[in-house]
Amino acid sequence: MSFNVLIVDDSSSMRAVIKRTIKLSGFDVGEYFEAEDGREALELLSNKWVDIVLSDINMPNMTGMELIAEMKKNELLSSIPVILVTTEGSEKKIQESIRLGANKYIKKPFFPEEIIKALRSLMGEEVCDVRGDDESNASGDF
Amino acid sequence: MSEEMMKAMHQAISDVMNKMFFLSLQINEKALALSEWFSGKHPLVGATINFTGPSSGYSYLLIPAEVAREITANFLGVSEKAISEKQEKDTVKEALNMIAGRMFSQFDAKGAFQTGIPELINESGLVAGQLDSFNNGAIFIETEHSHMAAGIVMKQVDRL
Amino acid sequence: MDLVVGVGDMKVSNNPEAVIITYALGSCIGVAIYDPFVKVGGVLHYMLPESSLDPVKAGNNPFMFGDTGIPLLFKESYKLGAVKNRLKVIVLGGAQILDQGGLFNIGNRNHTVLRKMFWKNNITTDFEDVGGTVNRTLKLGIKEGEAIMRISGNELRKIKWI
Repeated sequence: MSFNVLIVDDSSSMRAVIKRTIKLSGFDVGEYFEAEDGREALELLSNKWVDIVLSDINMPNMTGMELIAEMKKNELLSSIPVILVTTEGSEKKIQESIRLGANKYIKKPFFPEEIIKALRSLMGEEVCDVRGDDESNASGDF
Repeated sequence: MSEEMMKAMHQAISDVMNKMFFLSLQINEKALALSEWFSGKHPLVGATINFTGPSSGYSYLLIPAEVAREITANFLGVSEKAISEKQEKDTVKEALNMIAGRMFSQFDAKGAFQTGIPELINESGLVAGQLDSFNNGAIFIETEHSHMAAGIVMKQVDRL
Repeated sequence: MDLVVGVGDMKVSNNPEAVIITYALGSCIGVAIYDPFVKVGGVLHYMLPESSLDPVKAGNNPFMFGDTGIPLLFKESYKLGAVKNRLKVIVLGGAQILDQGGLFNIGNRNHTVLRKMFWKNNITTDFEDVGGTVNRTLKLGIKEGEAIMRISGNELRKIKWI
């Protein structure tokens, strides 16, 4: 069964990179949702079915940490796994985010394989044995 | 800027530009003036990001527009023809966001510093005449075909 | 049946008896690919990142350079029935070996050009072991896609990628 992804980052290019990475994973993604900050993400979560969230931490209006805290307060949202993809790399921030309820933590800059590995561990190895594609963005020649 | 911070900045620039933008870089230790460094390479795109903590200030990144186009195409994995100016500007901001973040991760294991949201430098701030006010502490970067520059400006200096 | 891939060389095979081997990946990059469904595999061993460094040489031997060798590795495997999305990929090498006065670290540049091409062409890797200052050797068995790596005189390591 396909699943829906929400990507939260104030950089539209970074959102595009994360989206493309997930397309390469081979997972059967139904819909991709995007939000510029935690507040927009929360609004989206309240009226769309989302199976997994990938979020930055430092964003205007509502940070990734605040988003997780809000999700945990909400019965319907508290079980949605959250992968933080962020420049924040201090041990202190990592521990804090795990304590708040983040499932995985990926530091920018990252290799696409790191995101794919995190998704696999949360959504199941057996779900994608074959690499996906991103026909809309193919600019290569092999 | 302390030597430790400078070293962390060098490493961060290299890590980020390599890993996410597929650029091989070399730091030029001899260059002295940004106006000269970017002579013939205008227009430039630039971004700044504030930081606060034990000391505060901002970090900056300066890139020729053609290099911004190149790194955006590399970042998004598409051809240069397919990208917009908006995407270029956003990419430069995100590049600095990652560089500053990575730098503080290395330099500041305890998480005492906090970085802000990156912002673009106004075009008027990027003309040759304005650049040299940042010469002190600037890091001069050679890409394979062009130049970049980055640095940190401290707003307050801690006195012991 | 051993098929040896030298420096600036590439081999693909669908012969179940074939074992493709490449030695001494210092700053060079070794790319191994394998389609487990049709049992087709190949190995490329390239030395330099971009053919623009020496277009004449690249014309004579495209496998010397990452940007010309990598597409050929994949395309040759398609000719034997491999399908891109099924291909498993291993990348080894790119070590920091003493450069011959090169300005940039060649091992790192070799790896960067690969990552750039992979991203543009929607390829992700299943196993990577790059960098450091070690020498690596790779063996790929076409029968089952068994891949074995050796690092600078240490014991052999079977790679989990299929």
